[in-house]
Amino acid sequence: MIKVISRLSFYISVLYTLFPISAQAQDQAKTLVTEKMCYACHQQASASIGPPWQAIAARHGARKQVMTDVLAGKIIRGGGGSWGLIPMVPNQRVSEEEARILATWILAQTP
Amino acid sequence: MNIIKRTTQAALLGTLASAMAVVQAGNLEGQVLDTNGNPLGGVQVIYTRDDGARGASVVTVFSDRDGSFHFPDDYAERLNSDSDVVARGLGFVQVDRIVDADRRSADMTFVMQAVANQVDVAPASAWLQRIQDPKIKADFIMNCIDCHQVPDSNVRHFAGAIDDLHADNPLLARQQSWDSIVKYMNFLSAWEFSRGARSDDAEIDTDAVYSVENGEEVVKVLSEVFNDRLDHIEGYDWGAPLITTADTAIWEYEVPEPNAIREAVMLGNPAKLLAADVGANRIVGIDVKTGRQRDYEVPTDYLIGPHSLHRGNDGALWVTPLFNNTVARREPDSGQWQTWELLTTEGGGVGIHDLSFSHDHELLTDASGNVWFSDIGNRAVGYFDPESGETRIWNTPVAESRANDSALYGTASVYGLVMTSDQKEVWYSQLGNGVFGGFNVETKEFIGPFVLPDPNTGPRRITISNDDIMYLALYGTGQVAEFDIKKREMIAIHDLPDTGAAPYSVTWDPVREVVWVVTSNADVIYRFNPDTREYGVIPMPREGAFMRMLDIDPATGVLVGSYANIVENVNGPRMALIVDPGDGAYPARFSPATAVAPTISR
Repeated sequence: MIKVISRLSFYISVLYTLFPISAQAQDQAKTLVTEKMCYACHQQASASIGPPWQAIAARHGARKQVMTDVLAGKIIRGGGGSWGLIPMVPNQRVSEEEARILATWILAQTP
Repeated sequence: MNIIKRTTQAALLGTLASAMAVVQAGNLEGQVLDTNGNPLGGVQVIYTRDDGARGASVVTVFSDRDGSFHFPDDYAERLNSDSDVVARGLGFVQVDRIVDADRRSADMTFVMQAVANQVDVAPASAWLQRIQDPKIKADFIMNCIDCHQVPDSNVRHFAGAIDDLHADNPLLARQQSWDSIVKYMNFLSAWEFSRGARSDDAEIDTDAVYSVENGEEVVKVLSEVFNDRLDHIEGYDWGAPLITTADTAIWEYEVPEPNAIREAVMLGNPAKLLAADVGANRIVGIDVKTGRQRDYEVPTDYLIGPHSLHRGNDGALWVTPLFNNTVARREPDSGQWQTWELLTTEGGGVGIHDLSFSHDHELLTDASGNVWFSDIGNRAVGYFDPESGETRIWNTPVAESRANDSALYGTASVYGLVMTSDQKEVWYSQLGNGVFGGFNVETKEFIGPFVLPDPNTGPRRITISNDDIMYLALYGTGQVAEFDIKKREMIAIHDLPDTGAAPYSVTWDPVREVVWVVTSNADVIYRFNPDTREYGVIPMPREGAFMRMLDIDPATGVLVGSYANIVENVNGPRMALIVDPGDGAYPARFSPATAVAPTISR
């Protein structure tokens, strides 16, 4: 059973990699970006406190499979060192599921 | 019993207890010991109850001098995990909990070990002792602690994240990182204060209300004073004796998110805690017996942002807004609302902060029935006639010594307001420039202004005794000013036991004849006795206990307040709470099971 599930989740992640995110996921992500106040530090194309989403996508978009989870973890727990001297604050009010939706959306924002 | 035998027995009981996964809470009592088996007084025993449990979300009692404690009332539910009931004390960690339970009661023994690092319990204010210069400290408090504690565990965690960067230039890394946090917080506060009145695609104005004005100075303090991981602190004490007894109890009621709980009072029969949500147009009503909550919407088609709450002596609830021109009143029996949208006779707007409090901490009108208010928008005091709606304001005089600084004048917001017992004078505080004064409501003449020593003194809520002594909570400098209104002279300015405490309000207790001082940054309530000039302390059972106004139930003398951390991402508690000091000062004893908050007729 576990094998089946892990295989299934592998196929799903392959699908995510191959196809752009659905319109529904896109809407969900956009709502979350506003609700979770991501705009406090991030913009689409220009640098503010944190890196623009396009820059993150440009750097990591090719490794969606790994980076979705890495980014999701960083959204929740915060982190630092990747984009200069300012650590990212943790966002305890973002669930794992929400963080994955956001991470998937960010990685699709290639310029 | 010798110590070894006792601890061996305790260890054995511990083994038995750990096998007992679920016990009935029932009647909860026990004792707190140190690792030598000696009784330990003044330790909090905190019972965090399941979601949906009947009554308060969290109940806290304190161990007596003999180490014993008991919880008020019985509890119907079962205890599910070791974290349901824990012991907490400054300078101690819980190392063991032994439970001896039957079907109706649980007897618990907690063993506490003394530790040097007080990081788990020391309040945010403890860290501010690093700031040597009182002026810099006051400025820092006035900038940041308007909304939340600093440095709370989020701030300390971020200090660790900066350290983890291992930057070549650590000071530069700290400067850049803290600068980003100040900008981040400005965005969050602008967001929070527009909740309920903002369209989905609205741009956020980060320079809106509550933005940090001296960002550079804040960043300088954070970078230079808080220059480590902020994970170790020693030698803090509460600065005054604990005044808790075996009968002291704290009932905390959590309000589900999202909310921006501001302050709370207790009214009605059965008694309800009524908590203002400044980010929405509602008062949250919490039945103290059952814990059930429901919203009471303020019936305006625009956001007033319920801010300050006042009890009427008829049991009505008076609500002032987040600095706009609407006052609301809720009838005690019918629950009907009446609202007034105030415009002066000249057609000008007003920005209401408080209504005038009496020495009973109730709304007191002048002899004609006019309701007086502090006008934070116009730096004025004024009144409205509840019958006709007629509204007039008078701009406060400029304090000469603070007149040349336009920044100070700009923030000379008229904040707290009290009325003398003869109903002839109102007295006000000005938060931003350290000034206060009076106004004769008959002659329409100002008295003063009186200038406090530091412009960042930050007088917030004020209170008045039966003898017209006024007390001012000095937020920035961590003091209480004691001013004789009849003689027009300052009696004294008293340092709090911790000057980083950020006292938000003072409340005169007409029965105990003391002043309760509520803090935003020190996780404590102080009791100040004007006769002896001594303080006592009641510690709150959690970090982030950012308190605002405190009310006193006229029947039982319990203290009613709230934790009002602003900005969601601060993750601080948002609760309404009741504190029984356990001093037996009032004849009627409070119990959530039988609580009523009757109207006291005078």
